[in-house]
Amino acid sequence: MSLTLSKNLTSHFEQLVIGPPLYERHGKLDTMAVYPLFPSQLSPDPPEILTLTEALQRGMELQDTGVISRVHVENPLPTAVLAGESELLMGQTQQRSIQFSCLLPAQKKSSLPVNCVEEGQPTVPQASFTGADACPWPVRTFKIEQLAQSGEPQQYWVWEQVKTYLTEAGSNTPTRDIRAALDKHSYQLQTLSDAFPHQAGQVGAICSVGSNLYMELFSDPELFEDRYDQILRSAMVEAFVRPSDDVVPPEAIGAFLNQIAHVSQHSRIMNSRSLKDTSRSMAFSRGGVNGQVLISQNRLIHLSAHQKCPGQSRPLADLRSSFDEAKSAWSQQRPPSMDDVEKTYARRRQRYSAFKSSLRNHPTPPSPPSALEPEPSQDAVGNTAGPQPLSPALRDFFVALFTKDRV
Amino acid sequence: MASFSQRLYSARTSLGGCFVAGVLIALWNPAPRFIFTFTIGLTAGILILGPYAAAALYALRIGHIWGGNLRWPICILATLSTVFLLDYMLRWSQPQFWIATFTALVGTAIGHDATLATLELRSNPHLDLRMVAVFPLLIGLAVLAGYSSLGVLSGMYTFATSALR
Repeated sequence: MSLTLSKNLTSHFEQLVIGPPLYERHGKLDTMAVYPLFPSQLSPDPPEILTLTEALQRGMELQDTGVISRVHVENPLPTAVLAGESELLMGQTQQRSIQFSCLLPAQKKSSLPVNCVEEGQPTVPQASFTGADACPWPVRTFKIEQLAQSGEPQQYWVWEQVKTYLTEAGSNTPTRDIRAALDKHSYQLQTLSDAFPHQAGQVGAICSVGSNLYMELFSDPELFEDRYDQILRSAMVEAFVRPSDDVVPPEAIGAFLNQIAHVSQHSRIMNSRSLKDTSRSMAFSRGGVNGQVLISQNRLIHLSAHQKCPGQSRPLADLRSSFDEAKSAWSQQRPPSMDDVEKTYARRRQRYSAFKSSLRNHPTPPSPPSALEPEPSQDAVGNTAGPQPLSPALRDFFVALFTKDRV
Repeated sequence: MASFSQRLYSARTSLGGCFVAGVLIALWNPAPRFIFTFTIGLTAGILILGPYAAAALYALRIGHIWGGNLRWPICILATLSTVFLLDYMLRWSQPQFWIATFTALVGTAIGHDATLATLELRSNPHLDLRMVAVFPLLIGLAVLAGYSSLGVLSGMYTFATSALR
């Protein structure tokens, strides 16, 4: 199965076109470059999937269960929703980070595996999550590494990771929420993101920050576009937390993609009972490459990956001329398929906008959970290496016994 | 809303089971050492061995070894080593040894899962620490109550029959 994934990724990467690198031209951000990824061809039909932020605006509900590792989902929309591993869930309760990318089934209740990223804030059962933001990459990398190694990130170590990161970022708050790092640099994140504009048809991006490469790839350009701001924020905040003047040169990008395909042979499948029918998530971590993939109907929906490339980064000042040359070469002689991709994307985008508009006013009530669709307390990540109980029923009994005023 | 007593009522099966176990031990052999071995084995398993095994597994980050199934051998190992050590020091009889082994194993399993439940609720303001502290003690008391009640009933029966004669 993992070999199949590796082959699928290899063939998927072969279809990608790496665009010229983008960087901030006024010297305000010398530690980041973005390599856009384009498909070599695009199907005429837009996806029938919404991103989490879009779905929250259209009636989907995420509720705190009171259990820190689970969020209850009620999706009344007639379409599946992509919950990305990079997303932070925010509301009048403890902030959570989604454990791994998954598709939340249409018109169903389900349970979303999450980690707490705000240790000092208690959970508020039944409180709603009203928005999503980007999770900084170091926490994501740690989470993915834990998923690949043991099936579930251990909450204590996630808190430790968040604590360390906030100390590095110099943005400790009383509740130790990871978003404080983003808030501290919100002005720069907002103003400097213009240096990395979204491009028509783009399905992914590899962000080089210092000696790190951060990749996000989606099945469809529409999903990427809706998530682009968060993708940039997740990587760009690193440029302020750990400033340097290096970026990884373009020569390393091909090797990074090959490494991802190679390491994905050793991936671990993430199972969540209430989500298993719609998609399959896998995580891998080996040789400094960490990543996770979401596959649905043998189609890659979302891939995120990270590689640290010590010794390979070079000062951006040295690379500026080659970046500019690459850009001018692209504008003069870009692959002919890009014209078709742009045209197809323009048509798809219109249809996708119409599709989203049609969902705005027509949420249908979710069906009651079936026997195959267990409630949050019954849900469990299938890989048993995390803190797994000897008997889930016994654990659930004690959770109920030790929780006062629980409905 | 589940109050303390409502939640305690929901645990009536397990508490009732402990009570019945106390009665059965009193019927089998009323010598106090057996009932104390049973009670202390069960309570110590819940309060000490189970949390110890959980802490060893998850604080040391070795839970992923052996496909995540290491928790079983760790619990068994922690229990058996403790029972053997105590047996060596206290020179238990064979029935006492088996009672201690069985109750400590059951107690460790319960304590392990109760520890995970408590850790899961660690940041939850609705975590009832009073129940966390009281429940293991109630388990032990239920066993003792079962054991004692047989003596009380037996005494009452003897008293009643002699009074009626």
